[in-house]
Amino acid sequence: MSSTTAAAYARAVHILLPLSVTAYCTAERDLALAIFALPLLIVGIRMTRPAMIGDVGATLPAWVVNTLLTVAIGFAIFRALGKPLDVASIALLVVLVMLVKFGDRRSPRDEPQLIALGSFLAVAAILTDPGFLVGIQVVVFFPLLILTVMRYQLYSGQSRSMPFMDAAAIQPASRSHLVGAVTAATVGCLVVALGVFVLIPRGIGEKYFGQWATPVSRSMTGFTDTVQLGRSGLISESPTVVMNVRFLSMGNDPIGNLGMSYYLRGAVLDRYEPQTGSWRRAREGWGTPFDLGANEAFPADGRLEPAIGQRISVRSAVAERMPLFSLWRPVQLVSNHPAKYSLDAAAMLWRRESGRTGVFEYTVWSSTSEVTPDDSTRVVNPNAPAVTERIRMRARELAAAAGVDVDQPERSWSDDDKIATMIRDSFASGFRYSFDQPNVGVGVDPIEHFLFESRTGHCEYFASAMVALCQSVGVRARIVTGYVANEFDDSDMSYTVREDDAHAWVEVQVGTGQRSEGRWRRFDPTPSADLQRIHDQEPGMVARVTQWFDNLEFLWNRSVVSFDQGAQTRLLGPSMSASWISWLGQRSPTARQQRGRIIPAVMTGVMVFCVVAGIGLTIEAIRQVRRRSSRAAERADAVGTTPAARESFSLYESMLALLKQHGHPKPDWRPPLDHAQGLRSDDRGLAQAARHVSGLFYAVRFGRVEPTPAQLEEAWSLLRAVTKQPRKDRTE
Amino acid sequence: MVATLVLAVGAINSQNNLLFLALGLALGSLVVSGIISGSALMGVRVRRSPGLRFVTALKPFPVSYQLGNANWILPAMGLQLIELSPNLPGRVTSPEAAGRRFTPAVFVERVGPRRSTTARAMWLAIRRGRLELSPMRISTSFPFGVTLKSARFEEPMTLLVRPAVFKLRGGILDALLAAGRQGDRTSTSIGMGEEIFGVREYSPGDSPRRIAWRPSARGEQLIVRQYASPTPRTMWVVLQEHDQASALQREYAIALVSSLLRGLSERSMAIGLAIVPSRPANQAGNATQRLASVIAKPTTVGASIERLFDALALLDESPSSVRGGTRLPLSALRPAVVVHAGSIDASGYMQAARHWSGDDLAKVTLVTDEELELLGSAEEVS
Repeated sequence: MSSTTAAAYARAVHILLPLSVTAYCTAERDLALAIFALPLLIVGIRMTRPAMIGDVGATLPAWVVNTLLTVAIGFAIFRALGKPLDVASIALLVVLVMLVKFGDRRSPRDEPQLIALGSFLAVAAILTDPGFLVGIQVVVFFPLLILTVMRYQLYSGQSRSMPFMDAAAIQPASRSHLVGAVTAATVGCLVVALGVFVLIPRGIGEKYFGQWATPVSRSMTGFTDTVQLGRSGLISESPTVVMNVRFLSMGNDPIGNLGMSYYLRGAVLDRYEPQTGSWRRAREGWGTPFDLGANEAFPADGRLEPAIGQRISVRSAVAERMPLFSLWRPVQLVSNHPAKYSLDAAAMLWRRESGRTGVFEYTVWSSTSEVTPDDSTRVVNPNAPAVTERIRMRARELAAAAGVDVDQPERSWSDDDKIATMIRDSFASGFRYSFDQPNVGVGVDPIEHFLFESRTGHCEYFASAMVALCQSVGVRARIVTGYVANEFDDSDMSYTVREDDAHAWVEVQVGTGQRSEGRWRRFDPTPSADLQRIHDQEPGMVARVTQWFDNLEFLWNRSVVSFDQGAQTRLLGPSMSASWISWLGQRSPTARQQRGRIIPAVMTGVMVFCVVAGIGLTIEAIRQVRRRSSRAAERADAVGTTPAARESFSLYESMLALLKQHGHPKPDWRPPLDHAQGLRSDDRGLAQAARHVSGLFYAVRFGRVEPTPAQLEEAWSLLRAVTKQPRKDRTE
Repeated sequence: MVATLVLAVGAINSQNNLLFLALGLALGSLVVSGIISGSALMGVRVRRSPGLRFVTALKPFPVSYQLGNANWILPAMGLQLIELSPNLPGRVTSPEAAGRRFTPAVFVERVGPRRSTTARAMWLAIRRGRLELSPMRISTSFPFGVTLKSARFEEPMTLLVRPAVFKLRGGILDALLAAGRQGDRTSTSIGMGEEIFGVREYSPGDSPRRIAWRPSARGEQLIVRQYASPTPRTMWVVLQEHDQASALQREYAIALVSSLLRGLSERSMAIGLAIVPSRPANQAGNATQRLASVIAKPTTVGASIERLFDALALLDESPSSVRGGTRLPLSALRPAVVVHAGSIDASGYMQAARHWSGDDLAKVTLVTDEELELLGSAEEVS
């Protein structure tokens, strides 16, 4: 065999298979599996590669292979026990089988099994996580798969012909020839693939056959709608991008610049529980969910003038109850995707009740007119919140310092504003921002500990302390969690929001406003210098590379991962997209809720595919039968027309059937005597019968020597004996 | 197809866009595979050219295939060419894997558009006779192995396979040379032998020792003697057919005859070949009176000797021509070496001749066990 061809194939497959394992381990976030499998793969490659290219190589003995396979299957079954069967369980088995198979590469016929195992791992990776990192690897994997399969075609074809080939005269195809073929095939495949990708209807049949893989959760991290003090691990320092935000003027022009920050609200918390050190919402205010079609706005009244728009692309949306971030005060939500939404009118928060994961885009318009205090007065609530006396005393000191008497039953909103401002300013000195959690003792209130002992904490401590202080003197205040958008990208005039941009700040009511939720002013007690230090962009090459990577990841998620019915409609136009959907009997975008119509639609799709596949398979089967019968007719003609010749021919056909029945079908290319010879060690009786019958057949076919009736009878009896006698007895 | 179906169900079930893309690629590969392999074969042409009129059994010989691609755009890749002649597997094997039987095939990785290339196979014929080559099939499953496209080409051709020839053992050849008889023939050329070929006028440079003084004295000029070239020793190689001989014994005998012919001719002996048909059981009598069919009288002419090998190659095909040739009594074939197709039965005739059986092939020649096994593995023989 041309070692060039074999080596070229070996190179391709030895890149392909580790890549498939790496892709799967990346998708599954399974570093342990990667550390276990990749070195073993390399050992397998080093062990078996020399034999592939014609040198002396090694394979594992058959008993070792069988033992390892048994162990691998047993281990995979053990791991899968008690869990529903999913892709992860099967993929683990595939990896283990691949490792064993690498030590068992005895002929070119073993190679397709390895390639198939690698392909399965790639599909498993896609099912587990279609994210950018996996996507890159899969994008590399597919052309490499095409190259490997092409190389294999040449390698196996040559190895089949090798016994007769004059090795010196072999002219292997050059790399450039293969590159051309691979390019042509890849482009051809991609054209069809893109057609299928764009045209195939989305949103029907999801999870009809159950969930095959548990996608890795990569959604909305960093942000939390709870605040839990006194515990570690709640603040994300990850630079992973959460969303891209483009702030718009009323003329739809992008606004923003370096150094300008925006606070995007996500959740509101207003009741503190000192026993647990946590903040929660005193009263959930989510209203009845409502449907909003694509490009529809809610609400559409004009009592507050929208002043600033936020076009937000969440990169990895959660499937259910995803908060929609916006600036205070939001007045209008415009949905880019049809979905079901809810509104918390008291906190002025929106959330998406359900929808697909992946990229999700929406637009919110906010008003900037309600941030200054009212001049009116209000009755102070005499019920003090559950804070310690020490905190209350501290708040009274600060209120007095602001010139406000907190014992008065009525107070103006501007006084509340003054108190809040004083409290916020009190954190400007003597406090230190840190991700390190203060060591709070048992039974100690974390806020009190922060205010009077450690004076060190992150934004949640600052916000908690300020709200606790405000509420202890009757100022209506609440914690708001969300993100601070401060990383401005002037290339596309948008802000990149990362996980570590998650933040907590305070809103203090400073008036009633035009609506029931009141007029609220934002206060950020976290020292601004610390906040700026933490959230500012890191300069330098790394930041630029990270930015590029983030942009690519966003592009990937938006164009590939999140391609949905809406994107299909935008791309193809509503009429064409609708015709597809209606052809399948599916008309509603909220497909999963209309299971009665989904099932026929999915079944129709599967049936159409099955019919097409069935027609193809039937045509192929007919071709095979015709080919076999024409070959049989050729043989019959070659044998002759006399009764003895005909009988010897039918004897031969019976022998072929018997060989197939006993699991030793004769390959077309192999002469029967040679095949019989190969059976001797495995089934001596069958081999003897095959040899005898083949001898008679060849005598009449090539030597024109017809068998005598006695010879024919003897041959028939041999075949009958093989049929009746158990294999064990024959071999003995 | 099954994988594509699974991908389709998986993509619909998971609504995973990357899986939709993978499904598209799988469908694309089906389409591309069909188009590439089918269209590539449409322009392929093939010609077989062994380059030899005859070959010798058990000696590897090349067979070349010239493959052309008339397609203007697409190259033809991954072409496997298989000989479909039904009698090939039992009569031809590969030098690389002697003893194992294969359908002769070659593989060509690429033929460029409007280009041609040559692929060469090495064959090893294991049975003498006429090798009929007819149809060939070119197939390709390139690029993905999903669809197999093939085309059949009729390229009838006949190749003569001469019997296997093995080197004679040293002592045997010397003994046969010594037994050869000289002087049976008149030399037809001038040489350095002992017999006088003729006389001619003296020319400057002739050795004075060659001057024939008496004839010179009778004339007016010097005459010199010319000597004839030495006549080669002659030897008949006789193949004695036997009814009871097995096909394998007969093949061994023919291989031995062939080896003797080659060995003796290489030592410049004049060799003749005669075949004694098997004697019917009811015909008794003096064996020396039996007639042998003479294939060729003793000769040293190369072309004539080559024809002896052709005759041995086609021995089974034209027995009438063997019988119809010149017939001589066995007693006239002297000196001779007789090779018996079956057991040696030298009683009553040609006592002076040396007798061997086909079974003595290994004793007389340097044939290896593998070669013996190969000879026995021919379909017709086994």
